[in-house]
Amino acid sequence: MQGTEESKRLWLLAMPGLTFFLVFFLVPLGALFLISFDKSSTGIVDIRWMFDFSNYERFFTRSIYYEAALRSVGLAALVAVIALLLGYPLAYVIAKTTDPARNTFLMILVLSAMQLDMVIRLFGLMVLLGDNGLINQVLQSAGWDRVPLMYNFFGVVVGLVQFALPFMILSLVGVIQGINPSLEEAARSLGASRWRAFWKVTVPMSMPGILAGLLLVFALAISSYVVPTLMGGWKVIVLPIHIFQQISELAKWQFGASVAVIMFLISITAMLVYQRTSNRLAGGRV
Amino acid sequence: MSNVSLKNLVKTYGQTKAVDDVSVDIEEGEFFSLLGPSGCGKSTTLRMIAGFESITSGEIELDGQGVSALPPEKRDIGFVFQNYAIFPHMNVFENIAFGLRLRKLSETEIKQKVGAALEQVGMAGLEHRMQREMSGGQQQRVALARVLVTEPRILLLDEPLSALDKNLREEMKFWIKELQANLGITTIYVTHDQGEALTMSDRIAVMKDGKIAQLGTPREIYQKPKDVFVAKFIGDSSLLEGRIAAMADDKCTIQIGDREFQAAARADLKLGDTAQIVMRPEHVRITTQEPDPDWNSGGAVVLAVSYQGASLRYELDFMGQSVISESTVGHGGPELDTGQSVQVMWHPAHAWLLNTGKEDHAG
Repeated sequence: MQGTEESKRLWLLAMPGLTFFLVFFLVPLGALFLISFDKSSTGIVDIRWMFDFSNYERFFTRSIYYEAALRSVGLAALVAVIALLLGYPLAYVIAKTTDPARNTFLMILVLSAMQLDMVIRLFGLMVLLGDNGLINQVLQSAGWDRVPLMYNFFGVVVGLVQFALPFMILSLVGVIQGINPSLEEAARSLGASRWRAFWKVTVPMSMPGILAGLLLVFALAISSYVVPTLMGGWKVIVLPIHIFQQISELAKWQFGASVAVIMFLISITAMLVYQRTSNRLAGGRV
Repeated sequence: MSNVSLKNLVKTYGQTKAVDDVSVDIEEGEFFSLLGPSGCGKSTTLRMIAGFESITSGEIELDGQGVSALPPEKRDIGFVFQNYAIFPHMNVFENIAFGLRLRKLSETEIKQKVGAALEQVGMAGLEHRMQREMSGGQQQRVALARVLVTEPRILLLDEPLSALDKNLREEMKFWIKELQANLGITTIYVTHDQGEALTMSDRIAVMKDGKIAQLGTPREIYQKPKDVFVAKFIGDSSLLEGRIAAMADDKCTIQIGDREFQAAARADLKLGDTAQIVMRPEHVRITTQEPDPDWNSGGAVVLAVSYQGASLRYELDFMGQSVISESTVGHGGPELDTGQSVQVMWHPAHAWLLNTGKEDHAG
């Protein structure tokens, strides 16, 4: 009976975290799920067990909502791809550099980008990108026209990439560091150029980190409320803005909950795609 | 088949010289070993030949042409790594086909060549295996097949057996040597294992502190070590220090304390030089009877006896110095106990002299 003893002990270890997860994540999420099926009634938060699909019907029949969903997905996917393109080379340098001083400097740079609260970081970004911000001042003094750099889609993308890039880099650095350097050397000695060896060996071997980074950034970007509001100036309407407005401003808890559930399902779908892809890749590897 | 020429090769990292003026000519079809302890520069030398490390100064020539400006992929070499470096995201077939695809061979040719290579390394039928499904020995075979299928000019092996367990290592040792001899491919083999180097090589360069300490055939290196370092690194040996007391034609007399011993003469030794006698354990005999007068001999005390299966190994105190003797069990020699007084004897022909009078006291 040693096996059950052992598994009991493991359960005991998992208990505190699991309890927290259950009480403070699964229960609220379940409540949200139930409320989302309740008949819409302004100002009421309780579950009233009057279930129908009216909230979901509303979501999928009004373009303002389903278009926001499409915009959210597009935005999050775009941010994930940009973060990958910017993050991979930097992560590669951090992973490969043998100089400890340079490594520490780059790591501090990346980590410090995560330190301050997002709102404060965005205010800093406004100083740079605003209509009278640093960039536009430079442009004007050079005799150019002002360019709208924020309160639009571009501003939201910049803000989200700034927010998500460190997560992408951290997902990649460990994986790239774990790739045996002799694999690339083996490819070189077999006749592959540096570039070819990188594409044929290093990139496929980095796939776990690339996929994890993409998923993480996608989930962070699609659920961000602060960045689209502050950087989009209420012009880039995404799902979290609808959720906030419905619940906080209109007190329509039931409809807000249904939008939240839909957003959650989108994230879950992204996670399933991630699981399937990484399993298929691992299947080729096992 | 190709020859390799290293000319005054130097590699420095900051202030340290990892490789310090190494020059050697390796002939076509030769099995050449770089042997030495870790940090002696043997792997760095190999990696410079492959193009993985830049050269600080000197030149590497393949078939008389300098290659130090060429990147690894242009050198046409085969490199086998200690950790095998099998691509984990490809199966055996794709691993072996990797170099062929880069050479733009047709799919039929690739199939045929990969099949032949798998046959050659005894891995036929395993083309769909992944790296994680293979033992170390199998991975090493795939690594060799992957390299040989591209028909490289030279084969470079970096401690290819050191990650394998002992029995497999023995088997692979002979297998690699046989494969190399059949192909006749010029091979440079890096190892810290003197047994591997002695068994497999045509010639060995023993390296120390970035320099070649001795270059020669396995027999030369074992029987006639050039200095104390080589004598101690290759096989077991006992060293006795003394002074040259007399010289005659091919013989000389060496004095240790108030005793005199005979040894074969060496051209670079003069009367009065200090020298060390090197004796291999298998050449030191022990007897409880009167020793042969033509042999060197003297009284000794047994310090330790260790049973090693096929042989017995004795550690003896001889004139205050440690001497090791090894004899095959069952050859009628006396079975001795610790503390027992005996006579040790060795033939003058088996007393190789090291000149320590002029050279540095290495080791």
